[in-house]
Amino acid sequence: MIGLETVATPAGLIIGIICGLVPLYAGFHYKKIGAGIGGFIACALAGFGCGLLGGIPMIVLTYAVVLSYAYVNRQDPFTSREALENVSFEETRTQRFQRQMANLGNNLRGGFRALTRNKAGFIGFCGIVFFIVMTTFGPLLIPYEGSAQMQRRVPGSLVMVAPPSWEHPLGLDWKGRDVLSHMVHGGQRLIIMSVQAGILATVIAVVLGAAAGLLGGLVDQFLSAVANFILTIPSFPLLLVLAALVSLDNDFLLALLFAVLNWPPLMRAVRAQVLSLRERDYVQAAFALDLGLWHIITREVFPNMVSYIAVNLIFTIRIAMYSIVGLVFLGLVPLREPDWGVMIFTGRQQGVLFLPQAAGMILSPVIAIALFQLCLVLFTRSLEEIFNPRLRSGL
Amino acid sequence: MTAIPAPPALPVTKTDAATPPAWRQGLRRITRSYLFKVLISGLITIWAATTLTFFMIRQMPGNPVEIRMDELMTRQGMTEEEARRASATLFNFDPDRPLLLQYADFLSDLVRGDLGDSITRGGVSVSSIILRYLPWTLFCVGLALLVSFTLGIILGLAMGYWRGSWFDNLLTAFASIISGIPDYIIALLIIIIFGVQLQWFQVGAVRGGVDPTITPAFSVEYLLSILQYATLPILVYVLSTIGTWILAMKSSTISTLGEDYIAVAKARGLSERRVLTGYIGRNAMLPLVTRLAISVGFIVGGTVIIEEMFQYPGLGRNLFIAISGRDYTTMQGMFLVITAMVVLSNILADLAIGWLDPRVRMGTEDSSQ
Amino acid sequence: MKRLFIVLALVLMLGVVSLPALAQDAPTGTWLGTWPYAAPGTHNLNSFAAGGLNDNLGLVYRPFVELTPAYYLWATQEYVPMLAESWGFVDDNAAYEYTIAEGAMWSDGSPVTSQDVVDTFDIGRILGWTQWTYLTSVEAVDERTVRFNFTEGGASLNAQRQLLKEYVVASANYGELAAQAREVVASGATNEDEAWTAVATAIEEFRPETLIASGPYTYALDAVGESFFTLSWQPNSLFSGSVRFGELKIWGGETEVTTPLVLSGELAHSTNVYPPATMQSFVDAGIRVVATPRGYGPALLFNFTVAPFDNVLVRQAMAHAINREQSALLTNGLGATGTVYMSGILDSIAPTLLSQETLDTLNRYEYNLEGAAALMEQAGYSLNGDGKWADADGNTISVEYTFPADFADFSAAARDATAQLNEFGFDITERALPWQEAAAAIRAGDFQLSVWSWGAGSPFAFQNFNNPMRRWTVALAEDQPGLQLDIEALDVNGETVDLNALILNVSGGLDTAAQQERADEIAQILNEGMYYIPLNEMLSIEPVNEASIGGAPADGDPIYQNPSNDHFIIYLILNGTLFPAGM
Repeated sequence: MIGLETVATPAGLIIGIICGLVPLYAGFHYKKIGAGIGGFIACALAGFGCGLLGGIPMIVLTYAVVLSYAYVNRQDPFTSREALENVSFEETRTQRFQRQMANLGNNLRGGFRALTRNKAGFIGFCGIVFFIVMTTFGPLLIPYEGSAQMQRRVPGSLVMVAPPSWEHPLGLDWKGRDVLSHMVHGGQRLIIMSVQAGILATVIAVVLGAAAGLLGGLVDQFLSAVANFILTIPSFPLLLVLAALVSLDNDFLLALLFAVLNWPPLMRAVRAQVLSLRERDYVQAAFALDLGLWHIITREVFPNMVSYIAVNLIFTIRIAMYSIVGLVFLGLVPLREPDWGVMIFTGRQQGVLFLPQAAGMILSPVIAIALFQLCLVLFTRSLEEIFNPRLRSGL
Repeated sequence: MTAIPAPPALPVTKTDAATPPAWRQGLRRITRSYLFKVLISGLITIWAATTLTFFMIRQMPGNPVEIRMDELMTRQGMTEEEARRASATLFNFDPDRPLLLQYADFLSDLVRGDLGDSITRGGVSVSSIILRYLPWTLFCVGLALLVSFTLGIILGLAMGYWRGSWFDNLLTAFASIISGIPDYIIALLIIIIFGVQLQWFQVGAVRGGVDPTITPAFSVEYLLSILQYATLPILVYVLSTIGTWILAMKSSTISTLGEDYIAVAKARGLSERRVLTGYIGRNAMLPLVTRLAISVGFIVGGTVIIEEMFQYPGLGRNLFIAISGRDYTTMQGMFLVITAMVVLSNILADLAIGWLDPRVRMGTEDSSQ
Repeated sequence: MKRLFIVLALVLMLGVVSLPALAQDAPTGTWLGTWPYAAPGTHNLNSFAAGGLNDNLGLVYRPFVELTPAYYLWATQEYVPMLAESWGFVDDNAAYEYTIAEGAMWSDGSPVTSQDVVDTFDIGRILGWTQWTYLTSVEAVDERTVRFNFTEGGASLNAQRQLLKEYVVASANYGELAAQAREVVASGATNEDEAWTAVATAIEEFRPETLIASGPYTYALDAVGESFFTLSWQPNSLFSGSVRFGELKIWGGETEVTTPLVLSGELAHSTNVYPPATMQSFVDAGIRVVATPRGYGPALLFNFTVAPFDNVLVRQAMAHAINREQSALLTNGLGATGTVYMSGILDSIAPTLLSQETLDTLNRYEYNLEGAAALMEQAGYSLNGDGKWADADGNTISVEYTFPADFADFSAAARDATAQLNEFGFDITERALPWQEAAAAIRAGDFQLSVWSWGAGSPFAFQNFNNPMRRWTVALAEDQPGLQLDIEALDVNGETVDLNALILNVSGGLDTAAQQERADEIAQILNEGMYYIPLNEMLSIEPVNEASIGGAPADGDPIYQNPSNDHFIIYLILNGTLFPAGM
């Protein structure tokens, strides 16, 4: 998970263009040129932003979408338009691959339709994309100002901070540096760390919650006791002590720390969900048929919880972001510029909230974080639509 | 005729085996009861958390004597040696005493209900500090929690019911943004904008817990003053927590809307209002009541910065003072109170949900959380 | 006619009798100040205990309730009388004497006597006061004169300052404890003995019911609120007639808490450290700010066991690579000046303590990146491909810099300094800590690069050199390594020097010329060795809101040369220069 931080590079653009040739070729091959060109652009952008890490997965996704437009399922008597006796139920490995790719493509298209159907959710999605694009491609346009810019000092002024101007749309910070450049360069690490922390916490919570709910008995009692225990430790001194004992300078370690301290609420919710699902008829039936725990989890319980877990994941990412910014704010983690959290820390330390023309330095990251949070919340609506067909209606 | 021996009297013990005596039965009923189990596990949790904090806070760098020395050097301009001499006799605290012995002392005092004396506040007992400041925090944050919960429930219900309306969209944006701003920034913005720039209130007049010129009494004047001084902190707490309540209630309402009994209620031709409050609202509230009860437990811990800003005489501010001065005994006592409150409120949450939701049967493990 | 005369005479007599009372009518108006005092519950009126007068009034407000014998004017380097009317060395410097001013009274109406002073110092002896390192006894010569007997060679100007700056407490409150103290000393006990510590504990736990004041203000515990407390005027002090404020209202809290109060005009003067942006907002709001020396500045501290800080060339290169003027501006706006002399003594007093010749010859470590690079190369470092300095094995200078997050001034200065070093080719990561932990880390030697104060608000070389050279080394407890620098056997140009002894000795005696010579020597050693980098010297930029305070002298007045621990408001309020605005 480490090393996900990424900045757009020209080399990445070349990688992206090369990757884009695959869906482009597929588009021409299947005579779906529009889809092919779309795929090419998507691959080029992904490669531009993230190099191979972005380009190669994007080949798979775009190829699947292109294929799904053209694919005719020969196993399906309705779409193959063949006489029933001519439909072959045998498939070669290639055919099977094509079918699965096409399924993936169809799901992607369906998901995207669900995504766009909910206006608010789509706005949230676009917002998230905006932040990702800004932190990935922004650095190409706006160079980072790391050192103090003493030449910008206004004679007679006690401070270097300045209100927004044409040249510096968000103003200057305490060292006379462009706040916008810090906004553009300083968000990615925080976003990636929050996502990491959110995923880790969710995984721990889901696994332990499901285990507690399904296995019951001693396992349940033990896990619930641990959850209760973690919930009751006063976290502030714990963090103080931890910060003093170990240097929290590893991003992944920090994400893990968050996960370890924050799985209990979600775990308890998952456990309750599992318990209530367990009482449902189909799960009882599966138990009666002795289908095995793994089958029950993956086939019966999990699909019914995907929507819930996805929405909770988003909320956990939100909380992770608060907590990480909070840790930086309290100065418990090493400060590395550029970073939104460090901007807030420095802003408070420099007392800039008391000086109206300097507020840009602290309010910019605060507003960015608040907006990102808003986008996440809005996006959960689309997630509900995607995973929960019952809600695929109305706005 | 031989005398037929009288049939031996049935040994009492035998009947006992069949039906145990009342006290034993009672005891068993108690030990098997849900509440008993919960109480025991709560006690164990409190003990474990207290033990952990006991050792944890003593691992924090710095100790009361050194911090006192630093203060003397900064504020009185003393040298390190002067400060050490001046603070050597200051505290009734021996940093070299083995930790385990300190822990034993602490436990034996605790069993007797004694939290010990503060290290840095000569001769003041920890329990008196807690008793003095806890009510302020309970009042201020408790009232804020109540206000923010009630408002959040009402708004969230309306937003969930009229999902997608302008009202919903506006408040969703508001709630997500406001919940993304740290509470101390909300506090500072309120002070700066309304106090310093617009001069709606005097900044100094809302510092502390109550107007110091009014003598404490159960008078209307005194109570009003308390309320007046608590207004701003309460406002900050409400603003910083209401977003979460709104969003949670809204999503809970939406999932309740899909339930069959709502459709049935509508089909029965009940008025919209009745369905909204009696059926949807009530059921959607259930999971939030649990969260409310749990957050009662966190009342004390989460108030440090705000209480410091408004100089509010609560536990949070004193916890901050204790932490910065490494006043181990005071910290210890306050954390014990915090832990106990969290555990208690968890138990209350369980009880409340069982009471409110007849579907959850008490005593079965499945519904205990 | 005769009767008329008698009546007239009677009236006149009555008038004369009542005149002092008339003259001593309580002044009106409120001084609005701030000090982070202890909250009610902990707050007490003990002059010696934690949570007592020292904590609650601090160096700035304590003299208003308990006068010191004299007050030091830095500009003219002379003492002016407060509680005492005359003072001086006697008996060929074997002792020091001062005489309490005639008419000095406590707030309970009794006179201040030499016994009060004797009791004060006898209690101080139990508490381990510094003065007792060079005193053998304190005795009353007469009703108003006190004599301090020095140990052999104990007389020094430093001692004079400490005696004249010590607050005198009332025997009415402390006489009994002082008697116990004398008893335990007479019994031959030492501070290791239980009897001794028992008296110390008794002193610490004593809770006077009333504050008996020699200054013009006093207060009772019920005047202490959660957010402020109020000192009120009392008629019996030497200065009761000259002060012009009826009460001093002291707000609690630190910088962030007091800032809105200053902006809203509810707080007129403050000694808190405000960051530049906040100062600018004061200025924008039309609030006057006054600059005085703070008596210290931030310095970069090294852990000498961490390579390459054990290399003097690297330390010198670092001093050259930091633009100290920039660091000063970012630290404190106009409230700081980059260090010029790099002598170990604050620039503001270096000219009075060091010879002109030394000042001229000291290396001023001008901002000079080429010079710094040359020193780095001389030390065996070269720039690698990333533009970072690396030694022969390719190791870069990757260190962690820990700073106290709560001290905005220190951390801003040093954060900028380390940023500059990173541009020069170091690889330093910043880590904020609560100040308590940052201090503990330095004591424990558990840091690589840190920041703390250098210099002192003292007119003597000893206190200046002491911080940080002795403070974080030999002055620490036995098991605390601190900077990990052995200053008792320091290698200076191939010679082993006991810097500790030199510093301890520097301000001894009364011969200022000899003191200057000794100070010159130490300044050279520190300047050459760069054992710490003094980044700047700070000024205290204090709001003085003229909407509520009148009479503040114009900028540049000599009184503003007094640093915070001989604060100018002590002098200006007591002599009636400052008055409530609108009077």
